Amino acid sequence: MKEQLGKIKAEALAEIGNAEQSNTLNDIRIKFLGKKGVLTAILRGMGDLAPEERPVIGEIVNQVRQSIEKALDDRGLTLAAREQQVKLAQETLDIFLPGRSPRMGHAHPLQLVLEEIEDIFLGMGFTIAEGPEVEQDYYNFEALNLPKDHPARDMHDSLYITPEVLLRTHTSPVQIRTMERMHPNPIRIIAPGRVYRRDALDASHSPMFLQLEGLLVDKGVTFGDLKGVLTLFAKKFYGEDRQIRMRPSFFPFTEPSAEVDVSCGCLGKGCRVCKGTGWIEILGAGSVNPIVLKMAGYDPEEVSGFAFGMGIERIAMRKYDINDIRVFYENDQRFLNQF
Amino acid sequence: MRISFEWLQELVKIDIPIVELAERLTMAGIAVEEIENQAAVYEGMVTGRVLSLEKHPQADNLWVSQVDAGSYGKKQVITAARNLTIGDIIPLALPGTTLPNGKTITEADFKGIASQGMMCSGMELGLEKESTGIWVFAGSVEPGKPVADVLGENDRILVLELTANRSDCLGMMGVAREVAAILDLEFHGSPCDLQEKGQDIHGIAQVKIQDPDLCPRYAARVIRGVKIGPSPEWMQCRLKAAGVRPINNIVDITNYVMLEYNQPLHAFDLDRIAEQRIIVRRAKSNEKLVTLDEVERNFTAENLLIADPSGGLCVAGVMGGCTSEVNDQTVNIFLEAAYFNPLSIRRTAKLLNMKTEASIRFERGIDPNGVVQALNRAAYLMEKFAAGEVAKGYIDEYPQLIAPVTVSTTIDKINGWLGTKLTQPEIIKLLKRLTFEVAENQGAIAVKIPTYRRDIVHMADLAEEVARLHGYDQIPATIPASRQIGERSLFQKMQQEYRRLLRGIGLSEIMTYSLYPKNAATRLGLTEADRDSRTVDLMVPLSEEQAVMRTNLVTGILETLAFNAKRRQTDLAVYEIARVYWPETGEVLPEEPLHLGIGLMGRVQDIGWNQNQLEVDFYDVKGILELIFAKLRLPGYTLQPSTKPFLHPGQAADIYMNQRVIGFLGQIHPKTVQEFELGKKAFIMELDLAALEAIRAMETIKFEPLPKFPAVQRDLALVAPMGITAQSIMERIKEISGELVERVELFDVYQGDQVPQGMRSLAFSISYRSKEKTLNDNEVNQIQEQLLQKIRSEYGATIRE
Ligand SMILES: [Zn+2]
Repeated sequence: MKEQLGKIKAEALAEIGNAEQSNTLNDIRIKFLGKKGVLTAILRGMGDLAPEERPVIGEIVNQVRQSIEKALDDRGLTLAAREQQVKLAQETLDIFLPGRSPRMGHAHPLQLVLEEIEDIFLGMGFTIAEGPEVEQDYYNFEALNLPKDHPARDMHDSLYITPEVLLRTHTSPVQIRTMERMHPNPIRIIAPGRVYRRDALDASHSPMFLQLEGLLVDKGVTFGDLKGVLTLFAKKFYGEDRQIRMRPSFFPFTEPSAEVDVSCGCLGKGCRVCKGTGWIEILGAGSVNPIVLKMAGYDPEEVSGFAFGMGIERIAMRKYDINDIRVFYENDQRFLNQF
Repeated sequence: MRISFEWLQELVKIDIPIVELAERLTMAGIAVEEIENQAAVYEGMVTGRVLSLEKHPQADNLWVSQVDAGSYGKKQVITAARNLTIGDIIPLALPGTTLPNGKTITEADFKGIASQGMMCSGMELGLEKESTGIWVFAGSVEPGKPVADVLGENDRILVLELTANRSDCLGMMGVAREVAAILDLEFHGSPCDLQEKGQDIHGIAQVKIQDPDLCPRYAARVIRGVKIGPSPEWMQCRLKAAGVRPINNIVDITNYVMLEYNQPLHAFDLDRIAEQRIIVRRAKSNEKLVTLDEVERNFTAENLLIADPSGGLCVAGVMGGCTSEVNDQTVNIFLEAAYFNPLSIRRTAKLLNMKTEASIRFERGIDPNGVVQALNRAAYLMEKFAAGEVAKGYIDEYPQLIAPVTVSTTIDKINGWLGTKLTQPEIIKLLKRLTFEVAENQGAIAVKIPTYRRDIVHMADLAEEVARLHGYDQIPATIPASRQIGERSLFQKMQQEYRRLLRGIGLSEIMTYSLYPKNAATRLGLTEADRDSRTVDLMVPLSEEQAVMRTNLVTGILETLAFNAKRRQTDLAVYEIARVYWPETGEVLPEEPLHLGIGLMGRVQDIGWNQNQLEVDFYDVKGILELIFAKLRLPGYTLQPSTKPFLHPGQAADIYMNQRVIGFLGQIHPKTVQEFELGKKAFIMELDLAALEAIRAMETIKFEPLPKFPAVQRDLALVAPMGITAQSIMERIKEISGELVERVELFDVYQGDQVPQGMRSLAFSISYRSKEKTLNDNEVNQIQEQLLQKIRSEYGATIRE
């Protein structure tokens, strides 16, 4: 009996040692340890043994079973590890092939520039005001000290709907509407939006374009405040190393008025962008004309203010080195994908 | 305005280089656009004397000429010209010279003989339109002189870009005065010591102003016995520098004084004025007059005419007439200097579509009190350069005096407006430099503004004068404290959320024009009755393409898809957030609601070796709608099949909220696909964001505690009639089972062989969960049984096994 058990053990261990796959181990387990297995058969045959021999043989059977089980487990771990290795090797990918990216949406460059500028002024306490694009002549011109037949109206060749209604030529009517609503309280707004001029479409003109204007009205606001706010804007938008320069100009709705230049990225050396001057014109500005304040309901003896306005396309064209205004409204996918 | 630097220096002694002057002017508000150097054109050209002319031995049509170029030496030049004789003085372009036409001269070999330069024609010098030979200088000219000197073309021109308020700088005097103020220099006038002779003008001619509102002032002189001829060369040079063509001495003098004094003048032939009586009057209705350009024009009572008893002579301030113009036979001159109402001139010039040097000045406003000075100056020049005799005295009808205004303010107000700390003497000195008279009294100042600066009416205008003379760069930059937080409004924040969401799921933002063609609605198959056909129309469209304001975003999106499709870019996902314009409001102005438009076409994913090749369909665009509502936490909407003609009749829905249409979505109708040449299926959605703004309350997110008890999942496969929407069944399931239903999802839709005609199978997955306890199978079975009975009876649906 003992010998037989020894043989069984040796046989089982040998088979386990030779097993090359996990499922073979299972067969071996059934063959030796299963209900109809070799070891079970021996246990069944124990009835024939002398009673004093039974515990001795029982003990040996147990030892053999434990040895086989351990061998099965050990071999199982080894094989599992080996099989996983093989499987992983089979799963090897070409890590140099391109990945599967979700499609990316792109912002429109004008929207990008607009939001960048808006955020700078939001940071200075401005809120964003809006108003109609189809506007009354009064708000677009008259309330801005541009009565009918004023020569300065020539600068704004307009698109009229009726003799009294037109497509706004600037976002200034939003300023007037805000002043009418707010007086005598202080104002600090920017007004972005679409504006329209009678300009045929070409590389540098568009009958429709985006403008952003600002208005600040309060007690004791000075022309120097305008300079300070615009300097801060220019430094945030163009870079800390930039300066601004104000040149006297004329707008009927501001007094004094200025064209505002920002120093060029070439730092005065002169380049293609600044046409050698070292300066780039970016916006028009000035202190709100007392006539305009008064028409909108403010007392110019009590408050003062300033206003400024810039064309978003021109700023975007310079920022991204775009030389044709038309590309903004064509929406070519290859163009949009760059932003 | 073109300013001759040579002329300017006669009026004010400028002690800085022209480049610096230009910079100073620009920084003081008189923008110098460019500095033109007349001589630059003639760089490298000198005069040469033709010493010999011999036939070229190898070429019949060429001549070999020896030319004496003075200090430049003797040059051998080959020419084909036949108009030369020995001794002629000609312009010689030396090698290295670039001609005005861009051609560069080099030393060249003509069939074995070298040519050391080129003789130039008048055309090549830019002196005439066509030339038949080489330009030959008249008179005695030394060889070796720069051609620019000989032509008198060595002036430099400051090209000014004047702002609308500075009409005073349309005259040399105004510019000189401005230069003197900016540089703090003395400014000299021009000489005017005329010798009056003979009869007094009042015995020779008469003037009557019938409409003083349109002609506040009219002055005149008579100059007799003039000899018409060319004006002096220096005058011609200055006229040309300003861009005015010389004609004869009389006309040139009127133009010259106009350029000098910014006062347009008009010279009539005195003998051709009927009864020598001038009447300044409104035109009669439909009155006709042949103007100098030989066009017969019609007038109305809005237009002012200069007439004599027999009829109109001249369109006041705009253009002369044919009958009384100065011509070669003219002997006696009636010289007019007037101040006309700017508005009237502007209207007349616009009506006649005639912008003349005179009308431009009158409509911007000249100095009403400078009229006589200019008149005298012109009379003086006619006496001097046209051998005329100036009659005694002058006519000066001035029925409506325009007096200088006085602006009163304080030093503190000016400093307060600008943010400066200038002292009273500093401010007064600056204002005096502008020739303003200043009276001061303990910080208060009263400034008398000359009538050539009528743009100054208010303290702020004075502040500007102070600021620009002091220098804008000298004003300290300060930051005003803010009393408010800068932030976007709720609606503006919503717009940002839409943009972030749409970009995040792969849509790109586009911007298209608000203007489109009148037939845009028709292209979409919309009828006249449709609201989209009623547009805000331009009175005078820019073009047919941009004639009306758009009523929807569809056209812009389809044009964008088409634009890209034509460039073989057909996998597109775009959105636009922009206004549309609806005229029918009952108000003066149209409604301008903000809309969102979405366009999808082609593959869902970008092309790639391992990408899904699926093409977009209806459910992609609908999914975006669902996402928008979920992400922005907007309340529910309902869909109804849409009958929009540009949408596929079986794949189109109108979006409703509170019984109101707020948008639509669907596949673009094949007809429309063809109309726009998209070449591919496309899907669209448009949503009225303005309508959503009103609906979205200030929604705050409230966290719901995570469930403590497990959920029980059950499937429910129904066979329901086609007309019943999955949406309505899902909502009904939630209604029937109440709180215990946590979620209902549609996971399968099937119609075909296994299902009777007119029916489809809808499979839902229902998740039951209680907040109080673990649900057991029995409880769930009971609920599901109840549910089934109701659905069966209400919808005529059966269970699919
Ligand atoms: Zn530069």
